[in-house]
Amino acid sequence: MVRRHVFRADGTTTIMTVNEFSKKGNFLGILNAWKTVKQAIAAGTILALPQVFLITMVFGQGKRLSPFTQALGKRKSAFPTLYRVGPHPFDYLNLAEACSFYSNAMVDYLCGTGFHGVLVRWGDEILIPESPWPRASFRDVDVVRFVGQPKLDPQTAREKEWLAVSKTTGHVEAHFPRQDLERVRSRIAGMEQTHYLGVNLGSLALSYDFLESAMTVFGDDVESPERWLDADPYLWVGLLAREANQWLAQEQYEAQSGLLGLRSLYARYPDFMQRMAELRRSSESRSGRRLAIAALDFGNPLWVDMGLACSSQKGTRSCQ
Amino acid sequence: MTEPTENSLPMCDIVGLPEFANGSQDIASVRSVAVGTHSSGPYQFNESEIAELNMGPSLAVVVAGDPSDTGLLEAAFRDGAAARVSC
Repeated sequence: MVRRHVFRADGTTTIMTVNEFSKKGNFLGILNAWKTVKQAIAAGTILALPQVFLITMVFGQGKRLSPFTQALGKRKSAFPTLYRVGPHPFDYLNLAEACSFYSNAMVDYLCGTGFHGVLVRWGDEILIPESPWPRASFRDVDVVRFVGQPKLDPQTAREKEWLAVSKTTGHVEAHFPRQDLERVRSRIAGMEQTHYLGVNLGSLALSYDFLESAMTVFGDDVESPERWLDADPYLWVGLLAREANQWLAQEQYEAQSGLLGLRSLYARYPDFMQRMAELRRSSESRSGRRLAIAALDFGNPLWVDMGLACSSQKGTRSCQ
Repeated sequence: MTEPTENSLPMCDIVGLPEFANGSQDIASVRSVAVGTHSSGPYQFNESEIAELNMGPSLAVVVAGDPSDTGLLEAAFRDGAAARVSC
């Protein structure tokens, strides 16, 4: 009865799986799942769209947890955890189940904020906030980004993406892809009184209206087997770059640093910035207000990425 | 030094405590101890309670990148109610 342990005890949670037959990247993958849910509603398979539903992404090649994943059919999310729900040998949650289990409170909280949309979680990580979230209204929010302020050494900090969050509105106003933290700090110099930096925790929530706007811009790409697009980092950098010089700063940094991310993106989407402007316009036209990307702050979270070998190694040591 | 048991690998990094290496803890106690060691103040989230109160999601969609992943989820939520497979 794992399902009733993971989700609603009365068994009223409908579970759907969406199989991708070509690489979509996580952003087009979310849109593909959204399209499938709408089709299921139209077909009567799902009775109604809930205020908030959960998407758990379980794809991957299982390389980081090798060789365990070879024994699990390359499925990292099938990795067993110590979360036990019953007396039998099979009563331990696997990673996908544990991830879903720890998403319940997030769904509940988002519902309480008035948010209408989808919570997107990665099936290889567990995320628990440091302390309870304050009451908030996300009724007029398009996207909720999950940010944290974990204690990081300089090397780890360099491997994270950083978000600049307004202390006044709680909204994300800039997204900085992986780079030296001092450089990030220099880019927000003068804003320290009004903004703080948080680490991008990856999980996020997207409003139904934003998903609809995104479908108008990327709907054809969702259908195409050749197209794929991740959300992090460039979708957010592009959406937040209202001024051309903000995007140029990223281009210049990558050119100077020999990074290839933008080059790869342009090869697939030479019109990427036009698409971002179109998505922003579509979203703002639909909502009648400026695009709003709120931050949900996890403080110093309990953040477990089971795909990281060093994390597993540390865990093993802690048991010795 | 204790040899890691078959259960000590997966989640001990989450809780960081040796008593969880024996795999005898249930969700609620793992949860509360994990939070207790990590949070400085009173903590209000409890996923088990949310599940018992039927406040979790009424719809959960699993996106799989490979057909074998779909099997994972059918196995994962193994209460006999088959997951609907779409594409």
